[in-house]
Amino acid sequence: MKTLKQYEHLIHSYFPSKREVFDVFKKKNVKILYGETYDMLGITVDSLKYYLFLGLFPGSTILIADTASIINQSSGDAQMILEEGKKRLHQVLKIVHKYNLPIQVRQMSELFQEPEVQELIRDVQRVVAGSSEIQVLLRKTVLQNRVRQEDKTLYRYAVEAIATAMLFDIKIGPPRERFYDEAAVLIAKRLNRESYKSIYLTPTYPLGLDFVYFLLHPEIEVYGLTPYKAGSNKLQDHRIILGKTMPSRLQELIASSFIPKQPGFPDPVGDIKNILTLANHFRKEATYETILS
Amino acid sequence: MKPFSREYQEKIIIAQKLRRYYKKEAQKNGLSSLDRVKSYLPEEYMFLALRRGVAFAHMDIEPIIERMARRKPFTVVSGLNPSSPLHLGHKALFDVLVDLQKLGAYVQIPLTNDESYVDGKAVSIEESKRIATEQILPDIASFGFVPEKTNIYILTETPLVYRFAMSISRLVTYDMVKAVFGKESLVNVGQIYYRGVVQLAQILLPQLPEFDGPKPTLIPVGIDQHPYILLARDVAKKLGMIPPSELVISFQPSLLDPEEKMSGSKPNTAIYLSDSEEIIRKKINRAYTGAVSSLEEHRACGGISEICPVFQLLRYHYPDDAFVEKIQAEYASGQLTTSELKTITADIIVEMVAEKRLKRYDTKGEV
Repeated sequence: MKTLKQYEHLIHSYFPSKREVFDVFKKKNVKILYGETYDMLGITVDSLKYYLFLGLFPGSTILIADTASIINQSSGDAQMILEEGKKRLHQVLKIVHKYNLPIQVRQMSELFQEPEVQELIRDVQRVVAGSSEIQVLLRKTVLQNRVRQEDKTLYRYAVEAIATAMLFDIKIGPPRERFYDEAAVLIAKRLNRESYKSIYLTPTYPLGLDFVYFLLHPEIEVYGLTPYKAGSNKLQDHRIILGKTMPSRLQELIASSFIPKQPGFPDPVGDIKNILTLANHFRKEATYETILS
Repeated sequence: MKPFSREYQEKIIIAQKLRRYYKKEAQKNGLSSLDRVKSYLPEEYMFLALRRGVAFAHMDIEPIIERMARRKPFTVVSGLNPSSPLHLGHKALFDVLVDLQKLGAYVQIPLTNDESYVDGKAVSIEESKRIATEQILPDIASFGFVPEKTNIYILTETPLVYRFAMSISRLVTYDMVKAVFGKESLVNVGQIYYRGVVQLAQILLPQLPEFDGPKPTLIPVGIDQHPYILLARDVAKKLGMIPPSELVISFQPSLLDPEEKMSGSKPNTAIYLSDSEEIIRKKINRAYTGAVSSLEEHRACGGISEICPVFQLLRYHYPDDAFVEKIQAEYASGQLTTSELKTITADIIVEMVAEKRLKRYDTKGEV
């Protein structure tokens, strides 16, 4: 809990409330999860924020959501995505070793082989299928162009994500995951189990864009826009990919980024500084250069 | 602490009413506050009306700001009814136009002498044209618009507007015009035609092929003109044009009543750009200030700058932020008396008007 307070500036909010999250931390062996999908382009720097944050809580789990990535990239080859998942696992493990993070990294497909997990997914699926109220909440988690597809599969992606999170006490994620978490509370109630609690880290905003971009996109003010999703928003040039992006490019992006005049507004540069501060917690004298390598 | 007098409490109520008025009007009309926009704008975009909150609401201003930042063309249109000489209320609006021009705008100023005529404010069309040419144009010239980026035209001398108005007339029904303007301002057919389509034609004119086709257009207006913009946005969509954006400017208050606007037809409420030093000083000396009558109480409670039309002259017109803030603080603390405020303000306004007069351009009756 002391650690949580020390790094509170990285926390955007708690769900359902700060008190309830802190209550969970009073228990021993709190199980903490951060799960993420991926694409073929590599690990972006905002993921590093989550890995490092998780490192503050020994025993936490990073879940490489390979099965979810298949659902996400409907046009891609499933086998190829699973293979990429294995590569991703190794890449994340390398980062874990680099910073000596006391956490484990697992693949969703491996977790899903456990019979009790399969049973939980079926239970969640059953509840979702029978509740239009929950379906309305889950629709909010889906991009507009995917609503029809998700309606057809009865929100398979969200169902699997929620069922997975239910295996843990705390889920770490970006603020936009609140919609999943609201649905999860209803689902847990119907399944007579306790729902996990969430910690949302401060949103990530794309670097290298001026004030006009932010002015024209009020929708990203609250939930941010993670550069690892940037491919779908024509912001590929603003991705910072670990091991690929050169430090000079990062400096260029920082130099041309919007700097807010007051707190509470998108702060892409502040976010990258926070990542550097966290990196320093585990590896003294970390620099932009070393976090990119 | 001594309780506030009844007189002071009444003034506080007026201030609260004024504060609520613009907020309520903006909400009622579906306009957005400028707070979010201003939080993003770099200093170089923060012209006086934005810094001081004189511009207080907008509709779709974001694409205009994008054009400014990307140095792409956009147009600002602001019509003027030349039925009275220009006063400081007009100046506040023209200052906005000049500032927008510095940020890249092409400025169009239709002088609506046809409106003066149909509303009975000019004895003849010829007379309305003469006033526009001989009195209004020289005053507008004193603002220093860049000629290459400015188009000032007199309506009755611009057939293109009437042709365009006629072509859009089938898109606007009498019922629509009546709903927007009310029957009271639609007494003769000239008023119906002017308000129904000629005004819309001025707003949408920059998007005609003659002016390089559809482009973002910004219309700075008073809140009472918001219905025109709504109608223009509706017609623009039907014509495949870009619905105009709107920047809403608060009224320069009357010198006699902070709840009324400065009016060209009520000379004691306004300072004209043609007023002499003596008249300006006289008008400011006679102006309402909203201060309590006892000097002792003024020293204790301070003045209320929001309801003081004299302080508002500085807020709307004097560019030095630090000075205006200092005066506001000293007045609010009671350190500055109303008579001192009036003297300081009069000195500034006299000099400002004199400067404008020097820059008046002699049109020699030519448009």
